[in-house]
Amino acid sequence: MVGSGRHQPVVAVLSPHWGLGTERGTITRQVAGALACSSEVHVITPTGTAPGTRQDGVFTVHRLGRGDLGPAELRRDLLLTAVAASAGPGQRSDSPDLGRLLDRGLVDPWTAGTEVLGGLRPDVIVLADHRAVGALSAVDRYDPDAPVVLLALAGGDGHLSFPHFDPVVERAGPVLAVTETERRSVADRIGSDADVHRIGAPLAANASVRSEPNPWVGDTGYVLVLTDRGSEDSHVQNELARLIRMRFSDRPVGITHRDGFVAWHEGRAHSGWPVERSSDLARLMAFAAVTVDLRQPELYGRSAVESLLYGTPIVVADDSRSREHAQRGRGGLWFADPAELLWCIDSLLDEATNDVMGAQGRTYAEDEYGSTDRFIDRVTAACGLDVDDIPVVIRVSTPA
Amino acid sequence: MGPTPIDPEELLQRIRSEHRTLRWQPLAPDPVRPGSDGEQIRSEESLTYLHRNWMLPDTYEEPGRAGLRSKASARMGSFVYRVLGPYLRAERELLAHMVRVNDAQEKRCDELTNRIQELRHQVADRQVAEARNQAELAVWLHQALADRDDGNDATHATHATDDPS
Repeated sequence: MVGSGRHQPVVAVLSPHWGLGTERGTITRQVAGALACSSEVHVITPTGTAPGTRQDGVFTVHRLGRGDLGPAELRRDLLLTAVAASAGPGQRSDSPDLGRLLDRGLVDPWTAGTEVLGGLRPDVIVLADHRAVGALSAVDRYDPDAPVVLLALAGGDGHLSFPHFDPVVERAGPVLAVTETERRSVADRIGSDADVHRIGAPLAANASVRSEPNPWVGDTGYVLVLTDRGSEDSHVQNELARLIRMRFSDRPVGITHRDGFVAWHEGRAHSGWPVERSSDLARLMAFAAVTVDLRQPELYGRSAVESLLYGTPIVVADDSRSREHAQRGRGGLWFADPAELLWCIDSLLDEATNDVMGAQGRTYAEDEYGSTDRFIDRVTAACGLDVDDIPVVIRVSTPA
Repeated sequence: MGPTPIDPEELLQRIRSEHRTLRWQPLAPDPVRPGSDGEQIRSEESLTYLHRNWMLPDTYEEPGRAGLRSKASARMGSFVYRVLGPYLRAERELLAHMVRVNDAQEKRCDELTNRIQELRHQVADRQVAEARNQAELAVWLHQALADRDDGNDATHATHATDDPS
C-alpha cells in the first residue's frame, strides 16, 4: 500500500467542503482524522478565495480557490427535490440535460484538483459525498485506475436513488457508511454489500454536564423537545411541540427553538437563550426523561445518539435517520403521526420502561459510537490500510 | 437477574392496539376548595396607628406644676373639660366604632384576596387539565379519522376490483 520512497501511505481526501458545523462536514473530518493515525492525509477542496496550501492540524489542506459551492449545491438540491416530487425512485431517468443542470457549477471547480493529485501521487483517494461528480472527474483525469474509497454521506434526502450519481458509487472500491440504514441503502443501490462498511462515528458523553442542570428546567424529569425552527414559525415541528406541551402540561416540557429555549410547566412559559453550545444541549439531554427530536437529521442523528449516551430514551419520526438508533439500538420509539408521538412519549415516561430503554440505548450508543479507537480501526481497515500501523500512543485506551 | 429487555417494535405494536379504543371523556368539574388563611394586610402602618391611638382621655389631667399661673390654667382646663365632657365621650364612641368597622373591612378584604388567589390557582389547574384532555381527544380523533379514511380507501379499492366494467 505504501508508495516507493515513503514511510507511510499518502491519502488524499477530496471533499466539497472542509469544516465543522454540519454532520457531513464533521464526519468527513473525523474520517480524515482516523486515517491520519496511520497515514499522511491531504485534503483537497475547491473552496477558498484563492488557491493555496496550508496546514490544519494533522492535515495538509489544498484549497483550489473556487469560492463557495453553496449556491450551486442549493440549485442542485432544489432540482433533485423537484424531480423526486414528480418521479418515484425507480422512475428517475438519467438524461444528459438533467445531468448538465445538476452538474452546473459543481464540476469545473475541481479541474485544478487533477494537478494536485498528480503532485501528491496518493496511495488511497477518499471521495467525500456520493454526489461528488466533479471530484470523480478530477480523479479520473489523474488516473482512471487509482484506488478510490467513497465516504457515501448518503442522507435521508434520497439523492442516492438518482442514477446520475451511480458512477461515483460504482467507481469506488470500499464504501463507508455511518449507519446501518445508510449502509443498506448503498448496498441496495450497487446490488452488493460485500465492500460497504458501517463505520459509525466517534462520540463521547461529557461527564461534567451531569454536575449542572439547566436552570430553566432543573432535574425535574422533563420532556425535551428539539426543533430547528423559530418559535413563531408556522411549521409542523412547532405544531407538534405545542401538542406535546399541552398533553404533558403537568410536567415540565423544554422546547429548543432556533431563537430561544422555552420551558413550559402547567400552562406557564419561561423563555431562555437559544441553545447554541453542544455542552448546553448535552446538559439538557442528560437530565431529561425523554428526548423528542422533531428535526430531520442530515446524516445520522448525532443528537439522538448523544441522548442515548446519557441514558435518555428518544422519540423520533419514523422517516428520520435517527430511527435506527431507536429501533436497532432499542433506545426509544418512533412515530408516524401526532397521536403516536404522544403515545410514545407517554409510554417512555413510565419509570420502568424508561429505565430499561435508557439502559438499552446507552449500551448501544457506547458500543457503536462511544469508542474512538474502534472508529479509527473500522475506518483504517475499510480503507485497506494496516491497523497495526496505528501507533499505540494514539489510542485512547489500550485494547485488551 | 436484571430487568426484562424491551423490544421497541413489540412495545409500539402494543401501544397502537391499546389506543384504538376511545378512552376519552370530558373532565368532571372540580370540587370548589375552601379558601385558606393566607397572608393578611394587618401590617399596614395606618391601621396599626389607628389601633393604638383611637382612644381619647377619660379625665382631665392636671399639669401638676407650682405657681399661680399654672393653678389658674388647671382650673380653666378642668372647667372646659367638664363642659365638653359629653361631646368628647360621644366622639370617643364614634371613633371606636369607626376603628371596628375598619377592622372588619380589612378582615373581609384579606378573606377576599385569599379567595381570589385560590380561584386563580384553581382556574389555572383546570385550564392545564382541560388542555391535556383536549390534546388526548384531538389525537384520538386524528387517529380515528385516519383509520376511517384508510377503510374508505380499501372499500373503494374493493369496489373498483369488483366492478366488471
